Amino acid sequence: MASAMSDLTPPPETGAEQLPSVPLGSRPTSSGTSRRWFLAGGAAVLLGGGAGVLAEVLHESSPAPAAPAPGALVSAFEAERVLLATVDAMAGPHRTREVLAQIRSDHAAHLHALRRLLATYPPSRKSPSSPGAARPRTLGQLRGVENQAAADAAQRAAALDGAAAALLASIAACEASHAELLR
Amino acid sequence: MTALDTAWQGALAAEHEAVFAYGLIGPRLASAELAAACEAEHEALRDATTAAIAAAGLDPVAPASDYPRLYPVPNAKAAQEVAARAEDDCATAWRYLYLVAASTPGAAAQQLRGTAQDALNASAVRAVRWRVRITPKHATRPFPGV
Repeated sequence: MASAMSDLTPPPETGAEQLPSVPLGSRPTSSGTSRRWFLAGGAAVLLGGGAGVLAEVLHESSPAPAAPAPGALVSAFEAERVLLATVDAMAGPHRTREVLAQIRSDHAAHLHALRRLLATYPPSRKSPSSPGAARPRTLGQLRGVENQAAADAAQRAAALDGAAAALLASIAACEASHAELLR
Repeated sequence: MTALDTAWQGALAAEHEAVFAYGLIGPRLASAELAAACEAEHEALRDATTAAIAAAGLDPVAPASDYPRLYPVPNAKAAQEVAARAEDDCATAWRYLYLVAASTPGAAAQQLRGTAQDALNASAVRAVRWRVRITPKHATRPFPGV
């Protein structure tokens, strides 16, 4: 299991240089402090790009684990691969293409981050088969798929610890926002 | 105070600020319906979080008297941007709580993970509702709270 404890160190007051190794959260002690934390989080995203920063945090803070990757992580990767293929298989009018492009970009970022995280584990000999979900044909059906993906990702997150769990928690929130975008 | 307590209080502080933000921007919006709905959701979460923190034997963090970073809000577009930012800030705070809880053993931490996940999802969804009005081609974020 990838350790995430280094993520829990409060961020320094001096700037964003060390942000990839600090938490991207808030602290309640005062509005000024809270503001610095939020600004630090925003700066980290701007400096590194959300997926890149996240992948680096996970990669660099994780000693090479000897145990195989947790099943929840492997299944999350497979699920994202299926979601990406699902979105790629859909087409539609201009407005639909714009919406699908955003969703596709997010799933690609998820896949990238999960691939980077899985690369810190020994390679597994056999990958699990992809879930055989029916391909949606309409945006309404895709919305249902994204809602289910959000619930599944949250469930997988709950089975993990530390930064890997937080990564899947964020992915779950993103899938939920996709469902909202598809309303 | 433990790291978990600090993160929990941070989430409450973010909810205080979001409630304040919606009170500020509501009058600037032509249609205040969405702002009112979001404000109500944040008020409910703020109250529930305050009660839960108190029930855990902690002193819930109080709201600030003002939040200068929210100003100025000269027009409707700026108001929408404040709303989206408030949601992003809440997502950051709740995701951080999730991370700390996921790194902390015990039943209380496990329970907080569920609360944090729900709140993170809700903020991500509300942020999209605002960003489709501001930057419709970039309404989502791949990693809400990061």
